[in-house]
Amino acid sequence: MGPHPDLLALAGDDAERAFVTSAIEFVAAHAPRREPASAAWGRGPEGLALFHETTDAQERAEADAARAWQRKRWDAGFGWITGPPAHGGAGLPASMDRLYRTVEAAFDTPDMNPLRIGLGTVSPAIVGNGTDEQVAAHAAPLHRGETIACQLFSEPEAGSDLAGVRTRGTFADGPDRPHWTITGQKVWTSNATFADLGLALVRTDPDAAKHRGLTMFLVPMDTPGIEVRPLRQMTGGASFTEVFLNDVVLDDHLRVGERGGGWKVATAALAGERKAVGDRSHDANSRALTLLRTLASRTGQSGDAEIRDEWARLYSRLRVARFQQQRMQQIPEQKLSGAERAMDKLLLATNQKLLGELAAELLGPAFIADPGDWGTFNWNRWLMGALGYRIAGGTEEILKTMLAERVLALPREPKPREPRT
Amino acid sequence: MTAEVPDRSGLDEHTFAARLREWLAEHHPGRAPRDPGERLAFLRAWQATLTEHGWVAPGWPRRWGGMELPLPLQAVYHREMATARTPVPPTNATGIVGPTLLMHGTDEQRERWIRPMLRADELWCQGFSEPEAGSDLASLRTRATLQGDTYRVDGHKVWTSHAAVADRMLALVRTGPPGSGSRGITCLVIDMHAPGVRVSKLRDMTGGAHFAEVDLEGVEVPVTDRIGEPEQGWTAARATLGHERSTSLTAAALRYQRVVRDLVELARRRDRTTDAQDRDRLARIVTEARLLEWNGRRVLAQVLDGGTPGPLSSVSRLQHGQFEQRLHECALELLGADGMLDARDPRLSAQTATGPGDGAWVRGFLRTRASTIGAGTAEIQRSTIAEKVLGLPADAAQREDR
Amino acid sequence: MTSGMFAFSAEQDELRATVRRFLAERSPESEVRRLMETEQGYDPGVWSLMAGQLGLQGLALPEKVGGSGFSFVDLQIVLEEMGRALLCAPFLSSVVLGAQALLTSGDDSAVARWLPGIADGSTVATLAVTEASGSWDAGDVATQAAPAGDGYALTGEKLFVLDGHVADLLLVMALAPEGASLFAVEATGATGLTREKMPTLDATRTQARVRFEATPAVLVGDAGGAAGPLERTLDLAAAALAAEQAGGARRVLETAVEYAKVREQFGRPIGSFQAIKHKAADMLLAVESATSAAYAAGWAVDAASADPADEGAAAEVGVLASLAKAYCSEAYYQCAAENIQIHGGIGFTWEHPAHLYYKRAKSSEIMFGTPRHHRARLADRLGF
Repeated sequence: MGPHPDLLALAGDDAERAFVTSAIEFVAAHAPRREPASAAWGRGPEGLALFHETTDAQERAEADAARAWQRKRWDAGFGWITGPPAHGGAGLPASMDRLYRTVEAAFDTPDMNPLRIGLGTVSPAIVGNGTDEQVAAHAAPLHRGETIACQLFSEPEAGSDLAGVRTRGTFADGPDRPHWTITGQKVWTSNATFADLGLALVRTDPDAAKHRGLTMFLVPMDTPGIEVRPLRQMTGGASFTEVFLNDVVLDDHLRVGERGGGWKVATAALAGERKAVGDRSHDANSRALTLLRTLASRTGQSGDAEIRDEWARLYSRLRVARFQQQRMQQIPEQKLSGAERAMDKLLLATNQKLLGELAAELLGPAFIADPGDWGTFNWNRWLMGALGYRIAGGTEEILKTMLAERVLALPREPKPREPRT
Repeated sequence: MTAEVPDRSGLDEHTFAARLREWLAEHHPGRAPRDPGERLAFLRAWQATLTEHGWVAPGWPRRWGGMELPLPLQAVYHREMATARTPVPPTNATGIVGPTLLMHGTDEQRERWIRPMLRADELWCQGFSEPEAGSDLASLRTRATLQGDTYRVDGHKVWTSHAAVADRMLALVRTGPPGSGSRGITCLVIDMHAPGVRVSKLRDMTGGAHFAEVDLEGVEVPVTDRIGEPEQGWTAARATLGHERSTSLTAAALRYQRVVRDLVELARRRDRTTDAQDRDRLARIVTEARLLEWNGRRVLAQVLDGGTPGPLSSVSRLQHGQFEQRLHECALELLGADGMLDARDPRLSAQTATGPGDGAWVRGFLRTRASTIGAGTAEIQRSTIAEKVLGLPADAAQREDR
Repeated sequence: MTSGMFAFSAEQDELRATVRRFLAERSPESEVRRLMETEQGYDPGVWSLMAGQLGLQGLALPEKVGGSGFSFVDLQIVLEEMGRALLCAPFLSSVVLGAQALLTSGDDSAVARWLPGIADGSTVATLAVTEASGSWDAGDVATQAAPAGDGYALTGEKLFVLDGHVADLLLVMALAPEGASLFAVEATGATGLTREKMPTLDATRTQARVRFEATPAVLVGDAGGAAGPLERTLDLAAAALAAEQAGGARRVLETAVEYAKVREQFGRPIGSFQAIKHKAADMLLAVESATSAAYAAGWAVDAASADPADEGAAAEVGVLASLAKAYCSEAYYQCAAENIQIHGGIGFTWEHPAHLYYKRAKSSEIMFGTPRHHRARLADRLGF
């Protein structure tokens, strides 16, 4: 048993053990084991912003670091674990990909968030629905660490009801090559300021039924007619953007999947997006709770029965949320509907909100007006972020309805006659 | 004929209260016996006493035996009666039946029925809900066919409180064709002793049998026992229910002050007033009770202003149900380990200075599960508030009426 | 994360299925209602079958005393099914409270004397701690234990004793001159012992008032040393009850969903309305989380048993037992209340099982300490 026995223990059989061993060898050669984010009071970053807010320069630097690391992964054979071997992938099952990510998460490697959408959403969408040429031209570069992608789905008029998108795509069989002209507006887009490629859901047939008139496109972000504007959120910063598409011309070769087949591509992409809540989120919550314990002590409230009760209640909730996720991971996938993961997100979001509220309770006036001390006023960002997480990536209401219909098999609501868009 | 009801409507609140207290000091019958048979006789006797002395039905016309008081005095009446812990009427139907008769009946019907109802010489029950028509009451199926001067009624009613002791039932029946919804409903008064009426008690989770099912098979009802016009039953009932619930809720809110005092007394007896969380919980309950009372007063004020009760009365119903549950959950928490006992255990049945034993809290804890179900579930109430008060669109696939 | 946690084996799945089948046959709702009305509160015939046919009483007890040596998690599986079926039987009292009181006492001769009978079901045992105050704390015990001859004589009154009126063996916390101690009283022929069933909110689980008047008793474990073992026993009881609560909560979720699918109002199943769906989804979260919490506590118990010297593992049991008890109590209660709500009027009837679960939920919430009590304990144990 070599070093990192805890990571080796993740392997279930010989094949997995061999894989994990090589993964550890690779990652350990480049980074030390990750120290849990310190919950020591007053030292280092506060880490209270749930939504990442940085300057453009910082954002670019993070993106560059992520791509550099992705290149190293690629060179070591870990850049596209489930990818098709014909395109340089390793052709291994999803379980191996999960193993790799778990192993890597234990080391202090660069934050791969700038690449998350490209690798986790856009690439699978292309592989699942695109042509070989598209896989080679657009998916593979994402995994080689050459490009970054963003997702152009949501619109002001199409949030929970994503199928209601209105961005219009008109086809023209030219004297030139067949092409589409795209006009519309996308919102809540991460990465758009530095992404090379977007995956856009577009309405190409307004006369067809809502879900059938959609087509998915790859949008090189340097195509003329694309305007990216930061979206200022209630925390004051901008973690997302609006993307305006004004007569953006796309070659028909950038169409992913069938004309009118866009919804199928979208649902597959979204399923990928709703992956398990990462350990990092649980860790962040645990760290927050530890900070609150220290805060209670510093403000002389540790003896207060109600504070103790609320803290103990939160402690329980956090641990139960982790237990719950762990337990579900043990259940064979075929026994689940797939929608069970919504529970993890719901629990996480609720816990984040409760943590923020406890912080407010403990801080009192310092929550309202900034005294300038470490780890006080910025709990505002946490609480506001928590409110955002009840909405982003599937609102609470949508998730509950999903659980009710897909896990509990309760009957769907009768559909009203579909309005034309 | 009973003596005329004295006109106290011009009295100021202070004097009115004093007169009532004086009268109660002389006539208060004490606590009702536990035995159901004795209890019923006791409660009926009290209603007769109240009626004979003109201290009943504070809002009804004096012509029919009520006190015809202005709303502020009605409020004083309810508060004084609650503080004095006077026995409640034997059935709660009076509050619905009476106004229905007053608003939609004929003088002949009012002559026949109102005074005996007030005196509790005749007891009434309400026949609305059916097994397949709960929240969706407008889909009720009990049929009434008119043959000459007589309706023939066939069907089933459920959740009928006090049906086993009632003499008459205020019933909503379908006279229109199947699928006619709320437009085919007529209001009839059914004689509970008539052939074809069968009552089966329904045991509820408290262990008691307060409710019943009523089977109606070929029951004959003369046309003169129909209230209001044919096919106007739904409108009549809805109007009455709306109006009556807002006033009865105000009455309930005024009683809560006493109930909350009892809760605090429970907390004191159990030595649960020093812990910070206990104090916090009690403070919340006290606050909620005050809110209900203030909301009730605002409703009264709106009605006094000549208007309708408005949005506040819809909200009240929902609040009351939830408050009753929270109140009793708090009480159960205060009982500690005794909360695991049945209401009849000796540890819970010892009488206390302020009222009945703590067993009443356990009974109330179980009974109030129905507070968010009966007389309109909380879910329906929320939908009603959303649609009728806030103007949110109704469910796209919903039927027209509800 | 403990490796293997929540990884239920095929054998465990089979255990669950077997117990579920057995209870469906031997403890259907009709039996629950029948036994609720009896003085004894359980069916000795079914109790014997549980022992003889399935070895349930001895399942998780040590093999050296006639048990099968299964894990605590296995026991939780059995309890989860029992909670689901609302089984009326002195299982929690005898197999968890009674047996664990003996095992945690460290008194080998007491264990050898009484555990075999508990394991084979021939002895029904229970633990008597609470008195009029309802406290489960050793420090609040006032029942006196006076030295008498070779043993002791107990004088005092215990209340809320689970299955106290039918137990063959009463394990009693009493105040000896040395301090809080555990005693054994064999009920048959015990002088000065009067027992009376207390009417309970939850008629599916009996509780008794037990009076001792100079009743002879045998000391179990060290005189004055019972406080620590009691705490460990109650931790195990809390974790066991948490599993039972999770089972009951899951059952009420199932019945609520079933009803919502078939009950129609306004021309469609009520389950097609969002208000009901969201309630059901909230219940699902509560049920799944409660299951996770209960078994996390169970796995911690087994981990600590596997390595008795590991203080961290032992401490974790205390933390997770209180965590699970508080969490599962509130989850079960809320689900049971919503189950009634979703059923509407019919959920309020005596004939419908909803109120049986509701009463079991409320009673379980209070038993062994309220959620608030356990959260306070949790805060203490975490050094908050």
